[in-house]
Amino acid sequence: MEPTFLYSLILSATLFTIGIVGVMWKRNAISLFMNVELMLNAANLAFVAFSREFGLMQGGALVLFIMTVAAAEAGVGLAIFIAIYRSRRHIRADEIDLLRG
Amino acid sequence: MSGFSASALSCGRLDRCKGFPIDGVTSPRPYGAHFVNPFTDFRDSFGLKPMIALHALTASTSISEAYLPVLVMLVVAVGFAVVNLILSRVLGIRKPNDVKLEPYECGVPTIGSARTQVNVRFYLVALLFLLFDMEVIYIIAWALSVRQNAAVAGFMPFAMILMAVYMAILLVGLLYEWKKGALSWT
Amino acid sequence: MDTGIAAYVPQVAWSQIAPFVILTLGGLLILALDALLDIVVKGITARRRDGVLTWVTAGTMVVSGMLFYGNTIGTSGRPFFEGALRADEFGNLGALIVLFGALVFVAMSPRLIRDRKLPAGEMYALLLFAVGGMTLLTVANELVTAFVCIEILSLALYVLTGIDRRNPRSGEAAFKYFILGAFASAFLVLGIAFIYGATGTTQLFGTGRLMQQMQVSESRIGARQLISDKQSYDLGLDEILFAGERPIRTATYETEQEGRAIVTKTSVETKTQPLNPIWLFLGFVLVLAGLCFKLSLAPFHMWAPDVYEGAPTIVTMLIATASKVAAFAFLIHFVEALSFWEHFPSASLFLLSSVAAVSIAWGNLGALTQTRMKRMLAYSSIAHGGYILVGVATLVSASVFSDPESHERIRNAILFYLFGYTLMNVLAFGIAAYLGKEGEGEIAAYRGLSARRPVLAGGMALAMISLLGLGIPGTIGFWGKYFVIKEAVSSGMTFLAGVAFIGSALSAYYYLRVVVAMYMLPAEKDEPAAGATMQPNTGYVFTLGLSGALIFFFGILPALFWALGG
Repeated sequence: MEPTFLYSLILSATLFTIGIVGVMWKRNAISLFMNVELMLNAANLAFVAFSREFGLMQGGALVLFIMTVAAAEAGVGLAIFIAIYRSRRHIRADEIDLLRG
Repeated sequence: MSGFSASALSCGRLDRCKGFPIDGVTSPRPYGAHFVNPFTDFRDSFGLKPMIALHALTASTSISEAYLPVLVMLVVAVGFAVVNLILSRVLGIRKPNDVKLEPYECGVPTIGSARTQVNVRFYLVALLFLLFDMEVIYIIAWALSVRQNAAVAGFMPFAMILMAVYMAILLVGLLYEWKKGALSWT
Repeated sequence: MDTGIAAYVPQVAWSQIAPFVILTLGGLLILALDALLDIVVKGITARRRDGVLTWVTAGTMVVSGMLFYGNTIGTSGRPFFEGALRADEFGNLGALIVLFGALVFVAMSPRLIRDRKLPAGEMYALLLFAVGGMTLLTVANELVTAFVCIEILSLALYVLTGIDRRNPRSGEAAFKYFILGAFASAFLVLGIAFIYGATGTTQLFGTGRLMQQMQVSESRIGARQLISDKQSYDLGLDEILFAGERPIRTATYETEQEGRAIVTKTSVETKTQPLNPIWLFLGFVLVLAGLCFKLSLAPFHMWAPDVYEGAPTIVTMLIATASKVAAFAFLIHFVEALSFWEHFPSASLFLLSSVAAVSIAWGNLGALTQTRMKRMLAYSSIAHGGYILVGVATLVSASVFSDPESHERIRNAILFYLFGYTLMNVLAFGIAAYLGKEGEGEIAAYRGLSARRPVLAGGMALAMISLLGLGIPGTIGFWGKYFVIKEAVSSGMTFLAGVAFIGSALSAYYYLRVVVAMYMLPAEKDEPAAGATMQPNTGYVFTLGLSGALIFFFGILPALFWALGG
């Protein structure tokens, strides 16, 4: 018995951590968002790994919902980024700082 | 067969597979002896015999053995590139001048910066594409389910109404997009 | 041919899901009307079209609310819609509170749409989708359903936050809200994945029948044991956690070569396996973290002040009231399902309590130094989230088993708090929005308001005193806090009760500062009189008056609230 399941979980955890670190470090909004997507897909991987390990099919179907939500999120996010870009000509997250206090 | 319809699946290798039952949704198996899992078993649902043969080839090897060629391939590919780069660095004679240092663009003199902005309208198109593209994953799942359960009494009307509602929602979205001018380039 | 199992076509409980369907269809109708109204009715003016959209939105929500109320009476508390939803009294009343907040939004929005030239169709469609997501979230019984609901409401709220495109602050608020919200939802998904991995199901509550059997057998043989031939995905989290073990199906396959074909023989057996507590706890922590982001609770609250300040004020109101009520309803259902796990209180109480305490401390201390009205209200809402979480922690400590009666009482106290919180914030944000630019900005602009606008100043003072809560009885805020703190004390959570008490004592400074500014300080001369350019709007005035009246009414007769639930 090979620990494929364990490998998948470790991969998922690694990807998720990379995503977190990326969100913390990156400054460009698109990169930030790409890291968030990485985190979501790492979670998807964990879902599929669990569902395969325990012989359940549900997990595979639930991942479809999460993927769709991620796509909708990308749609809304890009729209917001475009709106920001139109007024500022840049989308560097650390320079978007009108609101402070 | 007792209890539920166990699915014979291809999740890589048959002997390592766990059951992927579909809770309660069963088919009277119109397509041959196997219960078809729409999510994992594309092989049976499309009747691809060669895939089965391939499967038989790998059926006796373990996962790591199956992926060993990939690993070897990766090592060879990376090694080839790295060795060549190092060799050319070590053995090569370098006499740089302005022309040599210019970026190569199919022999044409370079114009402007390589970092030009993509027109913002492309993002809008990409965005609309993304949204309508994702809908397909549900349609595929639906289609496979319909194909599998077509003979079940009462399933077809239900499925068709479901898809009609889904399409109607998409249609409203498309209509709105169109009327708001998101589809026109100017 | 094997047709041993009957064909499975899902049964849809139409009467139960009708309110949600109506909200969604209303949203689609708004989109269609927005696109087609000027084709169907030639020469319709923009103002008239916006009016039609407003009335359609309000009508949709009223119809949906009536259906909700109908479902609330005599609700069974059983899961329906394939176990994805479960309408208990708490969830249904929570949905009614959400609808109240959303209706206030509709009443207030025409003025905003006129003043800032916003697209009415988009706003109302997004509002209806958001409300659909929120109301579904209050009755969600399935983790992925809840996740999808949270995303629906969040996505709609991101766009509503940034809908004032001429105002760069609005866009910036949307940007921050979006980035942090998306970050949080990743945690939520990973948490759900871990809970799924630990238990094999994502459904919160099962049908309850198995639970009774297990309790009976436990009292008979003295040990907990899963007695079910079902698979894990057919069971609820409560049942699996109560049993402490999960059914797990193992299948063995033998492949043989017969001629040129490969024949697979399958044998399947179902066993039970003990739960993995680490995955379960990790899942709980991650889901809690994700929800804390949405609820703007302490370690994850950093978006709240910026978003509250940047968003159009009535959108801020919606974020502060309706979305929080929905998320709290889900948090409570989630925690209730998990408390069937016998180690849950010891595993989670410290975490819940510290989040509550830190939220109260951070919210109140942060609000002390704020000079802008909406930022102050943002910090105040963080603190109020902390008070409600005190109630949730108390709910965990008095679980359904150990103390069903006080469990019920604590739930009611939380519901009452949520209702009061909604009313107070509706009033405060509503008046701030009514006063326009001055009301939404510096608190100093409120100086001398009692002379210029006595009624509005009175309303704002009422909201502030009610938000302050403890100390001055006669408002709904007082009773909300009183009930929650009383339950915390009687369940032995004296530390949390003390933190909540000290927190609300601290909050007197910043709430009363507004009152003092309105009533005791003269207006600064160079400032224009606040609200001078305001146009009256019947619905707006009516909702403000209604909220104020309800704050008073339930402040004097809090017991009447329970009569609403039937």
